[in-house]
Amino acid sequence: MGIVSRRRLFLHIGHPKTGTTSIQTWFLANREALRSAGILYPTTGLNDSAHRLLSPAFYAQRHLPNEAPAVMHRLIREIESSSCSVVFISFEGFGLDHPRSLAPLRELGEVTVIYYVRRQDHLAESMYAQHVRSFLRMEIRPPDLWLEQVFHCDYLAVAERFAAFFGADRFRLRPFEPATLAGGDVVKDILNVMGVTPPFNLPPPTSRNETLQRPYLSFKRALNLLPFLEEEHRLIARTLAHLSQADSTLRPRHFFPPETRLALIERYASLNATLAREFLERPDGRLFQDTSLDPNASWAPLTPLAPSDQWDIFERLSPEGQAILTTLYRPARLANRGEPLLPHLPDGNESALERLSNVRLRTQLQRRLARLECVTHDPFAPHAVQP
Amino acid sequence: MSISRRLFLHIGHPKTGTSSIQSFLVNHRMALERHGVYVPRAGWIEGAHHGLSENFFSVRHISSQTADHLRDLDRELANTKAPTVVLSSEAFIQENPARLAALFKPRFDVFIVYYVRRQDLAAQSVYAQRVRSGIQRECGTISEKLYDFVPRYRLHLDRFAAVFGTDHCLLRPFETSAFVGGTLIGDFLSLLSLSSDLLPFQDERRNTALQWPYLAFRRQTNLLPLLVEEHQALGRALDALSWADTTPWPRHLLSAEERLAILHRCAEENTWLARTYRGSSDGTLFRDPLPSPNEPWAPLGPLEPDLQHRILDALPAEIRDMLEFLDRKIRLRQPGQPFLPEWPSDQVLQQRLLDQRDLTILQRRIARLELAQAHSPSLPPQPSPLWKQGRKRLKGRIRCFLRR
Repeated sequence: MGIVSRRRLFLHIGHPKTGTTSIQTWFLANREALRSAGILYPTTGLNDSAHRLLSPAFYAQRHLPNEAPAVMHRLIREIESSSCSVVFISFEGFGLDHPRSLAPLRELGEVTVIYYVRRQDHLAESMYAQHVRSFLRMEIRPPDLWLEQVFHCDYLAVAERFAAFFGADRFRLRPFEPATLAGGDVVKDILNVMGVTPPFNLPPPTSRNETLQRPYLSFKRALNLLPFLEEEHRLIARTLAHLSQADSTLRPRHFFPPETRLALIERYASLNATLAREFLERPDGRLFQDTSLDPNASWAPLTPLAPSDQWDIFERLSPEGQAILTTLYRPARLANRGEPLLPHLPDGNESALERLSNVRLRTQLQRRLARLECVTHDPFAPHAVQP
Repeated sequence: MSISRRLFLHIGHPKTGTSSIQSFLVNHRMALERHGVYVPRAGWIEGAHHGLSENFFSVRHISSQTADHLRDLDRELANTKAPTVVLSSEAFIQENPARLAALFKPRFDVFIVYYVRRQDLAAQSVYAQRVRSGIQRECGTISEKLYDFVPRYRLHLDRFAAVFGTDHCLLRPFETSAFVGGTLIGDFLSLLSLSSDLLPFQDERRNTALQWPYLAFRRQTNLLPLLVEEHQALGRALDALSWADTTPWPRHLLSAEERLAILHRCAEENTWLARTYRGSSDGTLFRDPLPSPNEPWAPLGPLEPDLQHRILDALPAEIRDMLEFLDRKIRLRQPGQPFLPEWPSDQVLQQRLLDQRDLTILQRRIARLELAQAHSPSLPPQPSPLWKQGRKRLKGRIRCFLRR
């Protein structure tokens, strides 16, 4: 029996690209103040700002042994020893797991699941950019091929799975669109859904715009052909994000043409209607208030960068970032100003892209193995060199 | 000078009771020695003399230890006076007979013992073994490359006969009706000129064949990136379920027509083998009844959803957790729906899936090593290499000299 007789637990399960990082960073930044107000954002299971370590899928994607059950055990101890009556747990990847991996939470109190969903055309563009930025994905496919081969939006399956497990009455579906969010902000909205009022003096949520602008996204996509190790990738990605944020040039917002975005809206119309009827009790089946395409929104395809633009970004990278690129890619080392610096992506050739992606993966593995071997045996140490 | 000591080199063929013979040899080593038959300890790895074969190490991607094992064997053989020596490993058929001859012929009269099983039965057994094996992890169906599973006995035996002589190759059909004394062990002992009366043994057939649904489950899970220890754990769990299941599942994976076709194709080879190595005038190698359409059979295709669920639910929780962890479809399975990975018919897709599996296994192994390294205490400071120590000493002396 814990200190609190009946807790309310809120399980925020995503969907990815629906302001989850904003929510998580706000909760983490204000953790102490929230705890004083009876709201616990547990530290157990946190990786960066989300409770990733509770998710078996998180380990599986990284090819690590599954530590989620042990972390869950520690989380239960943390919650039980806390006097907070409200507990908030958040990871946008929980949708990839079966809810039974979170079942022990039911023993601690009433669990409410919160799930934000975003219009699929917006989601697709945001998710593609995320896949290009992410180390786990290092996406090299052009947007249209990615859309065809990778993009899959399974809101209904996730919602049904979690609603069936935790109870349909404990499942809250929230459309992620500024017009319908309480206070026009996702953090305020989720606090509203939880029915809690944070202390007055907390700083307001800040929008975390991590979107890479078009040239930086193109630059990153070409770089994704190189066999970065994780720390090298992190350094380059961080620099590009800073450069992108500091760049105030106006560029077309969309890289999918209007007809593709319209096709996405149509493809998911019936699924969205089912969601609205089943989980929002909207007989008209209207999930999103805004279902139109903005005719004025500019778009342009995501094309490879011209050599001059490649050089422009390259020269603004830190010396370490430049060194990583020139070490890994010989043409970049040998290129003169005005010549291409980045690997060429064979966009029209699907099998060539796949082959290059496999070569990259193999080289990454070779580099990781070599690094492991070097720890026990330095092949270049003077005493190791034998005639 | 004639050599009076004999060495029997039991080379297989795989799936002809080799494990039974090897387990008999190791369990009765002392009794055999009393009867003048010596079974060396050197090179004995995983229940046979596999350590004497390079192939054993090569398929496992580990550095060969064969030279060390051969050195040990040499020492052991020099210390024994037993008139008969037996070495047994089915891995020997992948070796160069000339290399083996160079090792043993100077000191022994070498006999090659080679059991062969009727090819239709052997093909099914070889296929099932490849599905279960942690090295091959066969994912395809038997019919896809049927003749890859049909053993080519003549090819192997002729290589050995060319080096050791046809009269020194003892070809034995693997059929109960052909065994001396009606048992495989009795038959093997007869080759060593021993009577089974002298060595009481239990005729325990080591029948570890996986029954049909468990083999099908195994085949489909072979597409998952299981680490060796996970593959073995799943294998043990499926063995236990299969052993406890009393349902009369079909025994054969091939139809009677397919099996007859195999025998038809091998008929000429079998006649040649019988005439050459067994001196049979009628050229008959196998005498068991031919396949009959009445024998129950079922192809090893994708397992029905109901059976997939039943087997998964019957597995121990930790094995189920492991499979769920590795595959999203298994994790999120729905009642009545299939969830095991399916083997595509397109060859390009097949290759892609296998490449992906192997790469993921590598990634998982490297991730584990990295994790272990990150958690291991930092290494104690290593002593400087000699040249560094020498340089330091020299610098010190120069400093002293200058100070003076």
